[in-house]
Amino acid sequence: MSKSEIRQIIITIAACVLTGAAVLFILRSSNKKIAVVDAVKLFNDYKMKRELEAKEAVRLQYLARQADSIRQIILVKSKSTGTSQKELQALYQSFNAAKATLEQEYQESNQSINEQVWKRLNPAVDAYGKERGFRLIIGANGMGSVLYNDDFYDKTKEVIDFVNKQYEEGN
Amino acid sequence: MKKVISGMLLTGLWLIAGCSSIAEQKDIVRYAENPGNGLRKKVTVGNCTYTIQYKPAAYILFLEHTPPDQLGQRRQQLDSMAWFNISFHIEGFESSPLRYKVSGLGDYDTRLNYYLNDAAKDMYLLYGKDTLYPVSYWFENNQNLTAAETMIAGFRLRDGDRPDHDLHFAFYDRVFQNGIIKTIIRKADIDHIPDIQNHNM
Repeated sequence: MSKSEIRQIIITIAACVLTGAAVLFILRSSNKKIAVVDAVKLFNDYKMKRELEAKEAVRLQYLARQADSIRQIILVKSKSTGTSQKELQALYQSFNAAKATLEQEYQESNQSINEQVWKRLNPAVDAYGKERGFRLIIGANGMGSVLYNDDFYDKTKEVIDFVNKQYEEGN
Repeated sequence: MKKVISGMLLTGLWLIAGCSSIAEQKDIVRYAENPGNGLRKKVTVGNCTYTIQYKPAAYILFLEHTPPDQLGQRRQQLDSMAWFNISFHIEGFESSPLRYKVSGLGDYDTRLNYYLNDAAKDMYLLYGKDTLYPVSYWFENNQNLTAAETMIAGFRLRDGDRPDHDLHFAFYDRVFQNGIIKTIIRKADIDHIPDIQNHNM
């Protein structure tokens, strides 16, 4: 084999290796355009959600204490012989009303927090996807929408860090 | 003759110096309101945009047109404080945001009452290790003259005239339920504010 033939073979092999590497890189990059995020974890680890819950907790605890106070009075009065049936009935009514208020407030508060959190999370995840060049971000919620994914696609921690930073600094 | 010429020259220099100081005072407003300088932040949630403007003392003094004889006293009042304007508007809504999707007069009054009396309780400033609450608050009711409403809040800083740490501002708007609005005014950006306190102040 002449020198020029050897050189040609080397060039051909180098070109093949480079092309292969480029194809592999492109395939790998295009794979990165999809991410899976644990939506439940994202929701629970969003700082604003925790702060809103802490704010609401004060009010809900107050209502819970009110209901509990009436329950304690019922317990004491029901053991006492001097309490009339009418008085006990009125106390039970108050207790039921306080319990119903607590449950309603709890549900309304939960719904309000959910709405506010997703109002902020949706655009924040959008911004993350656009900034990092993702084409698709799948929210896994444990209900069967994602049956399996390996760590390569799992961007939950990254997304949580991103949305929390954006929340703290303002967008 | 020489005295006249030198007198005119001195007067000219004095006038130039005076004009430049006025220009610098105007510049503080332009500087503070330029988002690129980090003293004006915007947070958009849905169609509602909150603009948080940090107001250095020089900025307030210039906009208030404080008479020169009262500048020292007014400056003392403003020092050791962090002042903010928090304005909000609804994108594409030409009236006051308080009227946005309002269900009736009662609903409007509830909203107005919140911003007049209760909004300050939902504001705080993280400053170093301290959590500060407004010591001064005012809601500028613009009577539907503009499509934005503005709250003014002042927080007393415990050390020095100028903030020594980043200012982490937070406000939970209970009317529009947009979650907690947060932003940071960096100490580095505050340190870069042009110092104009020696010019006519």
